[in-house]
Amino acid sequence: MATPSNETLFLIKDVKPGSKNLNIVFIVLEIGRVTKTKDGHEVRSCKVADKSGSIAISVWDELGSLIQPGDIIKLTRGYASIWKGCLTLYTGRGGDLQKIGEFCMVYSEVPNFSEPNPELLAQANQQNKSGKPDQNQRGNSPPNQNSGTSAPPGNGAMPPFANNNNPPSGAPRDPAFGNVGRPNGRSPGNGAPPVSVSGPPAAAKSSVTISNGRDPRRAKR
Amino acid sequence: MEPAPAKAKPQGRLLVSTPLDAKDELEERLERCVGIVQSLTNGLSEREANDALTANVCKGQQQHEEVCLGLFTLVLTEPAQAQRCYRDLTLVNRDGMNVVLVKINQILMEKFLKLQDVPRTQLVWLVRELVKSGVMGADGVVMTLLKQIAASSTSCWSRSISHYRPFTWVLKSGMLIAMSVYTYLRLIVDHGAPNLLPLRQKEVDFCISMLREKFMECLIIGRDLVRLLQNVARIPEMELLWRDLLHNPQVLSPQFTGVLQLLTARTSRKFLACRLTPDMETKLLFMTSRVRFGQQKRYQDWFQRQYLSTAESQSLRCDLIRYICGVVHPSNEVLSSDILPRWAIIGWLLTTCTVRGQGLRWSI
Repeated sequence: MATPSNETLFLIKDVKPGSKNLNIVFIVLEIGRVTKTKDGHEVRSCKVADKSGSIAISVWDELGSLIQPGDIIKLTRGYASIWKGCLTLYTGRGGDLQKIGEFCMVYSEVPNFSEPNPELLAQANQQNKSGKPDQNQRGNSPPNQNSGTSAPPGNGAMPPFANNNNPPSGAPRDPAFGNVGRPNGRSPGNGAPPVSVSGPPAAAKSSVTISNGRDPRRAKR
Repeated sequence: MEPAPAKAKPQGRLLVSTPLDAKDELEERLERCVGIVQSLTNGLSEREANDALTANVCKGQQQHEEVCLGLFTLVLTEPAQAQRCYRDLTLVNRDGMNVVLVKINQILMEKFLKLQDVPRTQLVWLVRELVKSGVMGADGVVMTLLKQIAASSTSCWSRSISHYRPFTWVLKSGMLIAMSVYTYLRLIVDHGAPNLLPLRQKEVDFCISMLREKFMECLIIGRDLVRLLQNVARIPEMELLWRDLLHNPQVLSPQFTGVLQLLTARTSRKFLACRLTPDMETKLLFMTSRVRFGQQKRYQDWFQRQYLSTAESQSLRCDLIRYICGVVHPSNEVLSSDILPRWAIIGWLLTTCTVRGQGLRWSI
């Protein structure tokens, strides 16, 4: 797994399920309620944003209690996956959240890339029996879940919904799910894995939002 | 799913920090300089240590800076050694303390609120010493310090700072006198609570003495002085001052012709900005220059939560409005764009005031 330069900064719009080694600078918009996990940790889901959009991040324990709305935070070595149908950021091993400032950052709250997607939620309920997303997607996505996919199974790099070939349901959807790896209307069997877990997002060009009439969110590099 | 463990960050000696805060570069730099100084002087007698430091300082600008900043930091973090370190600093410094003044300014502007208690107290002490020694440029630092004091008037520590008697330092410069009078006249209004009355009395005594002995310097303030004096006119000493001001101006100063002279004098923007901390200014200026109209709600909420959430802080709104009207002058480019207009900010400040009928002096 090639790792990108550790200093490359990503934009929220470029985050996809299975993205790894994410370095992102964002501003905290809202802090959610605390919930307790089964093993006694505290988790908070926070809404954060940069100029390209907003997303949810889950923060554990002490850091979660320290974060305040308005904080400008740098995430290093984060990763993203689907949690209850919503794209969510996490801090990975060796990663960190650091407050580098406050207030003075322009952001856009829309699009919200963590908008829940009911289809994904249904699939998530099928797959994630433990209810928790894995830190890496190794082996977590039996390919037969993704109908029609041509993604090779077992390479460990595929998030559950990569290459999901379900056509958009026709109704325009919020571009929030652009990162979920749905094909953008190109032939589904194009073979290019929409998401490379550890590679730079440049490799993930084909994963694009369900079209809702707005510009397809192409990963711009 | 396991949470990634938060990296352990050792607490520095200067700034308060939480595990969330990124390492502070300034703090790291200063602590490195302390290390350098300590390695040069470890185990040596005072005389030898001084020689070692002097010798090192002569090697070049970088070494000079490192030693000066190391000693400076020791003054802040080691009160017991502060006198000695300050003396060493004055002995080895070769640039009129400029390297230290620059750092002090930086700390005052960017890090003041995050200073731990000991360094903060020490910093005030050091600024006093610098002024007493007649260091050139020290009054600029005093003004920045005053701003921090003025703008945080409702916090406990700033009351203790006021106790610190900055009063005598200021006599060296007309601008400083004007700034301190402006500051303390403003603070007097906020210090009406019974437990603050002793403090207020000191402030009143200071202002009266400056106004009566250094009136022409106080005149620098301009017409806002009248506004400030109006707000404290009920206080007995101030009432007496008003009588002289109105009916007997020559008592205050032979060159003073009367209130009209004062009213026709413009007040510099510097004074309007006095009541705002650098952080408040940064945030307000950010709002008026970068935030688009329609996007301001969250910023307003954050600002409000930080600075306008207590009963005492409501008086800050007037100062903020005054600042926006008098100091913020967007370029034509900004004015014609969709950046948050000033009237919208003023509207927000007016409509979110939580204290009714506070008699806020909206007159600008």
